[in-house]
Amino acid sequence: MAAIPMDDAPTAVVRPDLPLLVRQPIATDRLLARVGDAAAGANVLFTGTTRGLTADAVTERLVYEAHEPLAESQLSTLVAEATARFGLRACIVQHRLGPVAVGETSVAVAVSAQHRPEAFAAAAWLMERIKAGVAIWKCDERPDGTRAWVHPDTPPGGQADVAGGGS
Amino acid sequence: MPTADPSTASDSCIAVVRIGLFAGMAEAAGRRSVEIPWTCGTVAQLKARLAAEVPVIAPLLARSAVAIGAAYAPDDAPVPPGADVAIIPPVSGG
Repeated sequence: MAAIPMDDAPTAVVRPDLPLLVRQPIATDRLLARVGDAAAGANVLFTGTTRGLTADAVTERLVYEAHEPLAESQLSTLVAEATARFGLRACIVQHRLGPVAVGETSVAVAVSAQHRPEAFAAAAWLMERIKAGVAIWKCDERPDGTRAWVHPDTPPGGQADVAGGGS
Repeated sequence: MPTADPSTASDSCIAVVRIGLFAGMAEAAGRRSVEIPWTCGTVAQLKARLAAEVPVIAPLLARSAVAIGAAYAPDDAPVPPGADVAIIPPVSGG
């Protein structure tokens, strides 16, 4: 990105119109390219990928499901809130649905801002809220053929809140 | 799952509410939706009816939210007949 001092009010914020929920691999490099512009000096891409090992438990793949109208509404609201709260130039969120193999991206957040503090903060803020509240669930499928839906806040003794190799 | 007959689904004398189930709750129940005869009541009352109808999901239901359409609805919100209701168990996206 060009190191242009742009401390004056930026021009209109870019709002790339991309789907929030996708069933195909996420082209993360393209998301990063889409958020950049001449007024943005900081571009942050976060990708959450399927983790193959959580403690001693092996994950073969994760399968994601959503209440799609609710999740889309929630993600759209979060993008708008993050853009306003952190003064972003642009903000894109995409989350996979269906099976996601180990190493593949299940969620991507790409943001741009004039400076890095707000870009880092916005990406972290978005991920915390996506994980805490958006109507999406993962099912942890293991090599032995067993599977388990992950529903956090399992009463003490449960394992669901540590299972599942997602971000 | 059975599909409502369009000629009768909007008949006001057939008052049901269809409740969508997701993730571990759908798996536990062995189905993705439950229809309950319904005239009027609150979200809390509907959850109680659902727990009685499908006891296996009651523990997860107790820590789940309820959505009507594409928005969360609090326990004291009214549930109109024919509402598009979904149970949202604790989420795990990301």
